[in-house]
Amino acid sequence: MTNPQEITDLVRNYLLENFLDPASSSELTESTPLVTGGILDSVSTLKFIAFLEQTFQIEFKPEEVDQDNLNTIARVVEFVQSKKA
Amino acid sequence: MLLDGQREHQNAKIELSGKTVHWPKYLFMTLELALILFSIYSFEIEREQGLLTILPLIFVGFVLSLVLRARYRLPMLLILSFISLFALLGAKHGALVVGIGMTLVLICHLPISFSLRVLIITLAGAFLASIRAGWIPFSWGSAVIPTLGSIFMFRLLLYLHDLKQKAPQPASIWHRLCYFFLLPNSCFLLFPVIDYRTFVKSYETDDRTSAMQQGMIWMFMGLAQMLVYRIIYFYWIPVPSEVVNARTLAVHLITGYALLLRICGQFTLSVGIICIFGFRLPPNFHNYYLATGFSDFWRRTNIYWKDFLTKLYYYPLYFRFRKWGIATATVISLLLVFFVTWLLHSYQFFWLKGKFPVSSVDALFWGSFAVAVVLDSLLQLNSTNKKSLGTRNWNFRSACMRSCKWLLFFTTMCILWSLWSSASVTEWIHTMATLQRIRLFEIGATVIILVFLVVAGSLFQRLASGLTLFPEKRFYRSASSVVVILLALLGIRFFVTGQSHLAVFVENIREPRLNRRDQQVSLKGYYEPLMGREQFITHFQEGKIEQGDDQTEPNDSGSLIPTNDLRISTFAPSHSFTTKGSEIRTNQWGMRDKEYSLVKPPNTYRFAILGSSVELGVGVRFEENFESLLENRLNELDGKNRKYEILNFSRSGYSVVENTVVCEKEALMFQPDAVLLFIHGAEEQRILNNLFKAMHKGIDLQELGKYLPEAAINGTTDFYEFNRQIVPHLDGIENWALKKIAADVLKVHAIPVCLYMEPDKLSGNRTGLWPKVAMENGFIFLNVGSALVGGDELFLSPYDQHLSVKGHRLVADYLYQQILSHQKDLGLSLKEK
Repeated sequence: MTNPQEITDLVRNYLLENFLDPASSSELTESTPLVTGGILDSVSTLKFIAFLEQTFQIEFKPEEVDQDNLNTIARVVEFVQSKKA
Repeated sequence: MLLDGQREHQNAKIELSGKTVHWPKYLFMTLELALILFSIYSFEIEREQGLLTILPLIFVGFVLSLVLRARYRLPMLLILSFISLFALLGAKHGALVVGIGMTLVLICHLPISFSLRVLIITLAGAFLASIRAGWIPFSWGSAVIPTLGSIFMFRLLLYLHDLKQKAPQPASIWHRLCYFFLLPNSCFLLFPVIDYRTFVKSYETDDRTSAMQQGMIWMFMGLAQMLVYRIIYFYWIPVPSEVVNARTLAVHLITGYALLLRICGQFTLSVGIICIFGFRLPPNFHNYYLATGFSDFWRRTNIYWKDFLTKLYYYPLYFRFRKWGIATATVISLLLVFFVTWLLHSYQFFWLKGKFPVSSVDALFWGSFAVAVVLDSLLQLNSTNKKSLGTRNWNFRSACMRSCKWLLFFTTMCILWSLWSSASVTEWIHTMATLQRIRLFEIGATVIILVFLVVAGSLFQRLASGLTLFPEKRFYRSASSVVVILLALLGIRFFVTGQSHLAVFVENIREPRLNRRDQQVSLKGYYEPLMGREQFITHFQEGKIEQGDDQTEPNDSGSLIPTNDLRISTFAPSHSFTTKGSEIRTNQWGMRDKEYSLVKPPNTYRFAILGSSVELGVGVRFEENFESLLENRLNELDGKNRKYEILNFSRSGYSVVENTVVCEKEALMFQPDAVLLFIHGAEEQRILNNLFKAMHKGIDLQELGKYLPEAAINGTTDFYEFNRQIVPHLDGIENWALKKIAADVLKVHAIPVCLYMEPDKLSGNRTGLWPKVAMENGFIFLNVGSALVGGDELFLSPYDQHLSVKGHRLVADYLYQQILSHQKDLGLSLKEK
C-alpha cells in the first residue's frame, strides 16, 4: 500500500476516530500541525506509531519519532512511503 | 565538511530578492528592542547575573543583523557571544571558556570512529569534572567550569546524538559554534536545553521578521515574568515563623510555587534573545499555570527539557520495552525517565556548584511526580476523550469542570513544590502540620474562596477565549502592544515619585532587593539561595558560598567561649579571627574594640553598645566601623573638656534577649553613662533560633518561664513545634527583654537608648511596635533606618545587609547629629564646631 491518497485517507480517518471530535473533521487538513498543534502528545504519539506500524507493515526507530516525520499528515505520508520504498 | 553553501546561497537569494527586507518593520522592532532593553536596564533585571552588561551587545548585534548580508550574520553573532564571555568573565577566563569549548567541538569532528570521539569527550568531561570537584586544583576552576558546564553539559549530548544519527542536517561551522556559544548563555548559567536540529532548522527558514517579532514578544514576556516574580518575592513571601494558620500557609504555598516565574522568565528571555537574531525557536513554556494535570504540566513546562528527555531517553527506552505491550513499556520508560531527570538535575547542580546532591526531598518529589505522570498516562492510554480543532464552544458546566481540575492540580503542584523547596522532608511535614490547627471558620472561608475561583475561572474561560494580546500574524498590533505597555511601565518607573503607596511600591521593585525573609537570613550568618532552592542559585551567590563568605561567626572553636546563660557563647578575649574578609580582633574583655579599663577614667563619658554583627562591623575594618568613627568625632569635638569612650559589646547573631545578659553581666560593669541597644528587623527570627539553641544546650530559661511552654523549657520539642509555640509569645518576650534592659540601665543611673537599625523599605510589619514599646519602657528611641537611604552601596552587597564602609559612615554621621540634638537627655553639653 504505497498510494499517497490511500495512506492519507487511512491516517486521517485514524486521527479523527481516535483523537479528534467529529466537529474537527473539516479542520483537519494535510498540513494541520499534529505534534506542535497538540493533537499528538507523547502518549497518543505512541498509539499512532503502533497504528502506522501495524497498518503499513513498517518499523519505526526511536530517532524517527519526531516532528519531521509526524507533524502533519503530509509528512506522515511521505515518511510511510519512504519506509515502504 | 561543515559548510552549507546551499543554505547560504538560498538565504542570500531571498534577501537579494527583497522579499524579506521590511524596513518599516525593522525600524519598529529596533524601537521595540530599545524599549525592552531600556526597561531591563531601568529595573535592573537579573543585574547580579550580568545581564545589564550584555544589553548593549544585544542591541548592536540586532541592528547589525538587520543591515548585514546573510553570510555575515552568524559570524557576527558568534563574535558577540565571545565578547559577552570576555566582558563577564574577564579576558583570561573568557579565553579559557572559548578555547576549551572550541576544543570540545573539534573533538566531536575528529576523523576517527564515533566511539573513539565519545571516549575522548568523556575523558575530557571527567577531567573538567575533577577540576570542578576540586580534586585537581586550578585557580580558574570555579570561574570557568560553571560556564563551560552550562554550555556543554546537555547540548553536547544532543549534538553527539544527532552526529551519531547522521541526520540530514546541513549546517555551517557558524551554526555549529553559535549553537554552543549562545549570547544569553554568558550571563544565564541555568539555560534552556536547546535541541541542535531544531536550532539549525529554525534559522531564517521562512519569514525572518515574524521570527524576530516572536523574539521581541518573548523578551517582553520574560521581563514581565521577572517583574511579577520580584513583586511576589518582595511583598508576599512570608517569613517561616509567620506560617501559623490557613491563610499564611496558603500564601506560603502559592508564593513558593510562583517563584517558578523567575526561572520561566529567564528561559523565555533567553529564547527571545536568540529569536531576534532570526531563529524561529518553538516556545519553551506554554501557560504552565493553566495546566490541568501532570501530563499536561509536563507538556507545558520547560518544553525543551521535556523534548530533550523524550528524544534521548524516553523513546529509546520505550522502543526497547515495547515488546511487552504499550502500557508496560510506557510505565517502565516513564519511571526510568524520571529517575534520569532526578540524576540530571544533580548532574546540572554539580557543574554549576561543584556538588552532586542526593537528597530525600528530591527523591520524594521526582518519585511523586513520576507516579502521578504514569497514572495520568495510563488513564490517557485508555481514554476516549477527543480534542477539538478550532475554537471550542463555551458552556458553563464543562468550564466549571475544567476550573475544578485546574484548581485541584494547582493546589497539588503548590504542595509538591513546597516539598521540593524545603530543606528536608521533616521541615516540610512540620510546615504542612499547620493544617492541623485550621479552625472551622477558616475551612468555611476556604470553601467560599474555592467556589468563587471555580466560577470566576469559568467566566474567565469565556472572556479570554480567542483573545490574544500579541497576535502572531498582525505584526503592527503585536509590536504596538509591546511598545505601549513598556512606555506605560517606564512612565511609572520614572515619573511616579513621592510618598504615595504607588511611589513606595515602585521604589521597592525598581531594583532587586532582599525581602524580609532573606534579609533575616543574610544577617543571621549563613546564606540561603535567594529563592530557597539550590538549583535556582545565582552565579553570584554561588561565588559567595564557594568563598566561604557567608559566615559572620568565627569557625575555629578557640574564638568562642561557652557561657551557661542565654548568650550561649561569647568571644574569647585577646583573640583574632577573620570573617567576610575583615579581621575581628578582640580586646582583653572579648569586645571588638580598643583596650578600655574596667573602671571608668575620670571626666569620661561612656557609651555601651549592645548589638549584633552589623554593629560589630563585620565586613569592614575596625577603624571603619561607625563606633570608632563616632568615638573619634566626639573626641575631636569635645575632647579637650571630656573624654568619650564607646565600648562595643556587640556579638554576631545576638538579639535583644541575649543582650539582656550582655547588659547585666558585661556592659554595666564598665559604668556606662548611656547604653545604646540596637534592634533589627530580623529580631524575631533570631530570638526563635537562639532560644531554641539555648533550650537544647540545657540553659536555664526559667526567667522567661511565663512566655515559654513547658515542653520548650524542658527541651522536649523540635524546632518546628518550638517555633509554633513561641511565635504567639514573641511580643511578650521582646517586651520583657526591653523592660529588663531599661530597668537594669536606669538602676545604675545610666540612660537607655533604643536604636532601630533597619532601612525603612525593608522593615517588617512589626516596625511600628518598636518605638511604642521602647518608649513605654523608658528608652529614648531613634530610627537609624531612616538614615540608611542611598541604595545598595550602603551594604556589603545586594545580598548581604551588613553595612559597608559608606553605610558605617552614614550611621556615624546620623548618631553624631542625634547625640548633639539629644545632648540634654543624655546629660551632655556639646557644641558643634
